[in-house]
Amino acid sequence: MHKLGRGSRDKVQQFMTITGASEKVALQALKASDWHLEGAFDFFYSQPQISLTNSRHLEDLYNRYKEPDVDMIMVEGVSQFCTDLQVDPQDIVMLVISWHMKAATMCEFTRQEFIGGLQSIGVDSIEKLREKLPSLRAEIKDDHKFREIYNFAFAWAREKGQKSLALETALGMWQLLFAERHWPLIDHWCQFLQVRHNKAISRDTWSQLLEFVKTIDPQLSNYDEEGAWPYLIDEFVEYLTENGFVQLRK
Amino acid sequence: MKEAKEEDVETVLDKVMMLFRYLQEKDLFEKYYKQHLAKRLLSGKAASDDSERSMLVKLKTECGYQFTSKLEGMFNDLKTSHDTTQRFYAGTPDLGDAPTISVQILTTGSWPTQPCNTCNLPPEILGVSEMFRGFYLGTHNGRRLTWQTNMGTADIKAVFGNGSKHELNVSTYQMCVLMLFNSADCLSYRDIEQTTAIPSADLKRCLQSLALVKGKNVLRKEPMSRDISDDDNFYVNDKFTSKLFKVKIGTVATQKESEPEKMETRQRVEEDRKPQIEAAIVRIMKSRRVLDHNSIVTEVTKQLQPRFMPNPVVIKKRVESLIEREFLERDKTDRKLYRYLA
Repeated sequence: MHKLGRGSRDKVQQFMTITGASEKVALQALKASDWHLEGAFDFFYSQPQISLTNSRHLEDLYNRYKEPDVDMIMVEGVSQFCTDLQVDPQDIVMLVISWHMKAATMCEFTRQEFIGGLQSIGVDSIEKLREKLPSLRAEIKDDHKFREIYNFAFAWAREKGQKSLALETALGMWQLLFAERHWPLIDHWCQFLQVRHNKAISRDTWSQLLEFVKTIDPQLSNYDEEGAWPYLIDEFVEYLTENGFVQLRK
Repeated sequence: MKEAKEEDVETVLDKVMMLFRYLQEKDLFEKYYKQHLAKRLLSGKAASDDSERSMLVKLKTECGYQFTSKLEGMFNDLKTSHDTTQRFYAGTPDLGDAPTISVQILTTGSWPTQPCNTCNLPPEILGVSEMFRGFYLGTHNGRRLTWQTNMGTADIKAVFGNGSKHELNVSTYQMCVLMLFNSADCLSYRDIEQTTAIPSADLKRCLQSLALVKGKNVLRKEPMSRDISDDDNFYVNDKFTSKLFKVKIGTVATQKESEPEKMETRQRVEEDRKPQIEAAIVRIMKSRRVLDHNSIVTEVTKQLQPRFMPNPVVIKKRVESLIEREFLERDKTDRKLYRYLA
């Protein structure tokens, strides 16, 4: 505190009085908003969780999982993390957690991703995170969040340095994601891709499939072949009607 | 065409052009035209240089410079090659009694080329062709020469056992085979294949035309049969007779394109269309910035129609590929709209 100028010190005091936050949090919020009080309040109230987490605990937690010689949590750390949470690594809730962490790659967390993610969830211990699991799981039910998680999953599951998503991985992710959505055509879609396509999936096809699932009913009655769907989806519709899985009503 | 008067030729060509205007896939036409033109030019069978050029001018007027630039390149290549060969002979006085060669240097890209593995040439030819290579690369730095042995022809003098002399007009492959009999009486199929390294499908066709065509069977095959098999043996046909001194031995024809070849040509045309479609999409999007899917399809079709009818599915695939490469993006709220990224 003694390093700050008088004006800054006053702001910190003011901030603490009004919000009841600790000095550390006050400093964080003020720094983040370039020492504008108004901005600092916005920052604080838009991320109320920050005030609830203790960065000392978060640091300890991170160190528990990180690789001994690299500043990162890798496969082993993630698997330990899952064990501690009593969650299957394949559980979709891990995808939701990774989404909160803004993780760039599957089975890896950087320090910033891990700590920042837990801060935004608002927990600083495994126990607290475990208590949060049901509400995290419920986020998938939210349409808006589901779309974000779905689109996040593409880059997250993709191999480093690749533009598109390997088919095997894409199929796995779709099964996982659409299990929640109960899309009745999911098995046909996966089978179609294996039989007819057998190549990696582009980001456009990935994100457009969600739009397709959301807007086109499973009987395809409102499907429009001039609807600018990716060609793979057009071919899927053809496949469905050709094989009599769906009768297209004219 | 050969005996036709100049005016008659013109009338026929004009009629051809009239039909040409109705063609939807002019790029496919160009591909075949090029293949046939190459064959005519290389075998020297063009009816007349004038009518070939006259047709070229007509195509150019109809379709523009781009359409015929490659075809004109072919004519230029032949002219340059003629000069180069002359300079080679003028500058290389001591060739002894090596065979005379006439080299046609074809620019890669202008000619319809098939991937070709150069076969093993007879030592006599190899010597002079290597000298030519040295001469050519000496004057043109940084170029690469590969012998397209599948496209050449040769005139060879032959004396048969019964004393009859003939001049045989054959393909390069056939020449390679025949020259082997200068030092052997009998050769098995496998010997020939091994020494010449001619691809087996080509070699079989070449042997068929040398041994199985009546009146042109300069070789004799054992056992006699209508097909060439791996266990056959070949001899010079000492009883060969012909009323003509010059005998032209064709290659058992693949006059008509086979089904797989047709597919291949088709596929090559489709491959060539991809960059053209992409270029059209980019041109359109560059000026319009934002456009919906169906308008793109309409615009692209309109632009490319003079050359070919682009398939809407292919246009869609190209759009997707451009999205993937971040030339375009889908609008965030209206997924049927594309935006140009620059």
